Amino acid sequence: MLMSGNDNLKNINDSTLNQISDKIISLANAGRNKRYRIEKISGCSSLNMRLLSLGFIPGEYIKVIDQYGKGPLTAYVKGNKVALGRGVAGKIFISEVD
Amino acid sequence: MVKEFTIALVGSPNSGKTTIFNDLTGSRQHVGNYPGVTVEQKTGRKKYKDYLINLVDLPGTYSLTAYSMEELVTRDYIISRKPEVVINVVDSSNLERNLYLTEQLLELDVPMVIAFNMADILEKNKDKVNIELLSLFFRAPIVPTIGNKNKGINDLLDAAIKVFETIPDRKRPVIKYGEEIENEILRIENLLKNKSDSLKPFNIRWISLKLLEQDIEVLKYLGKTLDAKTIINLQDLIKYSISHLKNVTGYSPEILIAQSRYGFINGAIREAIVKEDSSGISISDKVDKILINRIFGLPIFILIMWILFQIVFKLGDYPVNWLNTGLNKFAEILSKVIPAGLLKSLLIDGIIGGVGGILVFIPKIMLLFIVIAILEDSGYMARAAFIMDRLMHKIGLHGKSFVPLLIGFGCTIPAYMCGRTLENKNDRLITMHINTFMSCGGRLPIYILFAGIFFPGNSGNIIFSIYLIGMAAAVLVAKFLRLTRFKGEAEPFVMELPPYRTPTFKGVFIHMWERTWLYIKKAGTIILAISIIMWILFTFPRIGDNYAKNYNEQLNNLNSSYYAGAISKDYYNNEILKIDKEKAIEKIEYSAAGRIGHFIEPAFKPLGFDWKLSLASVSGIAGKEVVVSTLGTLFSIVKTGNSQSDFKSSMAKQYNPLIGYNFMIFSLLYFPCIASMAVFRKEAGTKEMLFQIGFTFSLAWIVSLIIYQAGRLFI
Repeated sequence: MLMSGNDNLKNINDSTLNQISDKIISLANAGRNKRYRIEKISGCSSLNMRLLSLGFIPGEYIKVIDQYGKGPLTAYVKGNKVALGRGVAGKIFISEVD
Repeated sequence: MVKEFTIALVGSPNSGKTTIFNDLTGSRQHVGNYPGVTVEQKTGRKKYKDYLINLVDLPGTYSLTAYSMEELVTRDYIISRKPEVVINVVDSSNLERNLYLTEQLLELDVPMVIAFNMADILEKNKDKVNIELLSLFFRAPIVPTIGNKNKGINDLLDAAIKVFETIPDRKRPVIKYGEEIENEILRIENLLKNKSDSLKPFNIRWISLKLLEQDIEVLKYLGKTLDAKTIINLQDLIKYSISHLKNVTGYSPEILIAQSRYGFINGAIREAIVKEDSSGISISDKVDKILINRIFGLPIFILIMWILFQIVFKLGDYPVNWLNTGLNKFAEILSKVIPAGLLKSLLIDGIIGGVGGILVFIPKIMLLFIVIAILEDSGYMARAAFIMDRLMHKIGLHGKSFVPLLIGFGCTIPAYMCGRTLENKNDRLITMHINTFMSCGGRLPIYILFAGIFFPGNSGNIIFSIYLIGMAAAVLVAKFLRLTRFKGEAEPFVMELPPYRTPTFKGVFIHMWERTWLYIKKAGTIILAISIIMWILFTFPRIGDNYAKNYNEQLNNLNSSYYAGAISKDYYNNEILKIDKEKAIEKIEYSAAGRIGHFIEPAFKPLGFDWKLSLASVSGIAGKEVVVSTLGTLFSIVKTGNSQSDFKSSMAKQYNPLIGYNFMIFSLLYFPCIASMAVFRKEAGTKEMLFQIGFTFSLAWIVSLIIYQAGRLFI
């Protein structure tokens, strides 16, 4: 392998994060029935590819439908309902809109 | 003159691709595996007008990355086999995400037709689509289809033929990825330019793009193809490009690339589609409010599983009984027609007894697959995985592992095949390795027999305890394997929850039949061979006149005393039976099977098993049902009116409840049967199969040893 996919995680661009960091939360902490904007995804490259093909791209809107305690959550993104585990949700960063 | 060409079907999961494939080919399909991987390959043929068309149904994928086996298979097929036409099936009610795949196909430069499937839903939503315009954007003809109503299929074929007959014009890249990315693409392209000959099937731009996405498979491929110096240069360049892009934009390249792709798709959709605002809650959402409710979701799921079991095991009992009766009749007729001798014994005891044992299972297998197909096609299976994910996560597994484990309670063979739905190799192997401990239907007769003999009045609880011990073993072994052989996290859980749909009869039937047929083929051939081997082991070498006692003399004595009136009729009959039994036991002890039993007895002695139980448990390798029939043979070879109770009481006399329980545990813990191991090998390779056999056998032996030795202290 040429490079480790985990580089992404370490290299989250600090300046962008700092500018808006007061509003940015991880999807794992999102509230039910609220609309958010995806700011950042920070999985390894293969998880990112999966998320991207399901429509999780920075700039896209996402609506959390349900949170299952400490378990998975369901959300709408690009008109699709998607179920996400906690671990994955923790790697998606969002900001609240309206 | 008939022309022949190949069409490959590509589409996202839930796009209705399989329905379109079924419409195109009818039920004349061939299901096989892609060489080396366990992704199913479905092919079919169709004569249409002057063409003979080979159809290939490629696995459903969201994308053409290297994320899962399905995606790799699809990509490799398109690149290396070069089908003349690709039909991309698109769920037109969910365009944005579906066109993401279309866009990547476009970048691969394939001759393509787009099937705008579920066009009726699009119409119902009152969305107006300018198909000509959209077709210009994606440089492929677009044909509206309604798969589940068989509409638009001929138009699709006409369009495919037209594409096949047209010579493609020179293509150029459709999407510009913005200056930053294009610069990096250019750099990589320049480095690879003079190697284009050795990278023949690929176009350089595509490779450069994939390198920026850090596509593992493309990296591996280049590592094998290019010289070391180029590789080192390439590595440096890509490292530089990626960190450069991150510094400038704040995003890693795969995200930038995806953004551009979606941007292109959004632009096209905005131009070509006038969307009616369809806000409001869909029916699927309403159903989900109940089915995956935080409180009711799990109970409802358990209820559905309970219904599944009722259908398979209660309803399935009827056809199984009919088959059993029919088979017995058949054996009866056969035994009258064929003269006594070896051939008759082989046919009736060996083949009908052995293969019949599997044959009678088929109605249950079919019912199981019907219910599973309904659950899958309706969209509930994705929800079931979702509901179970929390629990499965605790034992280090993925929500999707639950379904194969559940099927394992019916039969482990389809359970192994179902493990294919798991994308991650480690998850899949762990799931397969612990599937053994889900007591399959074949083990149930053993439990019923032993619990009935040794724990009368309490057999239900005893059998339940065995099932529980199996599940506990599954949990512990899963943890153990995760910590030792298959390290790492379980696959992150991301899954689409598709809208609920009514399954079609045809779809369910084809699904069910494909799997049942695989089962019959795989299990049937092996079971036939095993039945013959077992029969040979039990029959040869034949004892002839080498009995230890002179039974004929005993019989003669008995006869003369009876005719002389010295003994009663009852006593006489009893004695005859005793002699027959002793004779039969001696016959078995003389046979290869008997010798094997005696040979392995020392290994099983510490578990409390004598040579008969040892032989019976080993014969379970052929199939756990065989254990019961072997015991039947060993304890009452002579069939009399009350042989059943006779056999049970003689077992009860010879062994104690501790041995009985231990035997059940042993049967539970070691691998299900030889046929399942053949399937295991096909799905996971020889090494994993050997591990499964060795591991489960040692586990069974050690656990039984502990139970017996510890239990003896208390009895």
